Amino acid sequence: MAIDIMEICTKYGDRLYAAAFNITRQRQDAEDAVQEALLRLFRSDKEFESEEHIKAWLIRVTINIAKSTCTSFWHRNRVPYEDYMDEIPFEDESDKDLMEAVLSLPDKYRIIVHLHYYEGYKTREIADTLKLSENTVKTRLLQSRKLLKTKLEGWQDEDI
Amino acid sequence: MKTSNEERYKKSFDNLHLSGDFSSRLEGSLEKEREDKKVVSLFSAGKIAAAVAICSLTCGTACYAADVGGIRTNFNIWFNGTNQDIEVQDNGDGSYTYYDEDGHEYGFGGVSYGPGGEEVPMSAEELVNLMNNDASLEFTDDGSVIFHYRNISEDVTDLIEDGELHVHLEDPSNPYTYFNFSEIIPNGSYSLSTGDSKDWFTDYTEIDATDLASGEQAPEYDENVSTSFTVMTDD
Repeated sequence: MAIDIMEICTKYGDRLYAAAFNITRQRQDAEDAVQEALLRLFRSDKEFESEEHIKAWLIRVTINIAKSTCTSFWHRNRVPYEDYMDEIPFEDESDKDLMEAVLSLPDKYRIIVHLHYYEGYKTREIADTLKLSENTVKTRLLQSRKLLKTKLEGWQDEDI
Repeated sequence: MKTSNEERYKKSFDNLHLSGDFSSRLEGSLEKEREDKKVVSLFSAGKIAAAVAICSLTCGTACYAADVGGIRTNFNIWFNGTNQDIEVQDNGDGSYTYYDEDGHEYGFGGVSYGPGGEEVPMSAEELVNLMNNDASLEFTDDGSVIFHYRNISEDVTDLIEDGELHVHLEDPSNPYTYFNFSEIIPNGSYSLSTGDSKDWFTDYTEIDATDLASGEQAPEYDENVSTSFTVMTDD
């Protein structure tokens, strides 16, 4: 299927950025990851079955690039995310609290939480995307929820 | 009515947006990609638009353009974990062109630097032997980084730290198997230096090479001589 990168960016750019930011906690690094993922899509000769397939591929690639970015020297020398939080025009203070609570979670929990709550992925899909076992995903999701419950007022109990 | 955790999460993260100038920057990068027909890649079948320099001992870079005409010789080479018969053409100017089994065309070349810094072009045989006794990194479309040494391939994505990767494997035919990758960046570029001991770095991750395919004896390194080579392809 023919792919218009700019159209894909308009549709999914913010979504990819949210996933990348969840990992990097840096605006510039997250944007770089999104741009690199879109450029890889442009360069790729991969055959996609549907737009949903493109979206899933882009999310996976963006996550991997963002993870790689986090190991670089430049990442460690950038502005802390707390400073950037003040620039985001949150409608409600509770939205800011939630984002801060999520971003304060350990690295290995954050993206699992994001894929579950933001992308609506099932544990199997998260496991496939992150190349983890389903049990690991379940355990980390459970731990994340416990942590979020201690940090956030009104965070509800759930079954996996 | 209570708001679900999902709804709360989405409402919060929906506040994140790409910068206003992101689209124009992306458009500019796409335009550059379209113009940059020439890509440099290492054994990548032209999929990665990146410059890769492989260096042994001391680093430097030498690039040679592919040309046509000249004598062709057959070699057997390992790349990205697979073994291939390739046809190498001597272009007569210190550069070589080779064709893989799928007909892809690559330009490559290398030089060694003598004690006085003099450059001596390397023969195709020397270069192929060097490549078969050296490691490489492959940057896949899904963002993973794969280490290759002959038939040994290992996902090393999570081992890279600060753009560096230090791995070692046992190869009876090659003592120079302490691999120090540096300046690794996600677009597929890196530098590699190789040593025969842990002198440079203390932490090497051991790669299981139990099933390593045998290779020709690695060339003897002269500490006064350094070599450098680059592979490039039009895509």
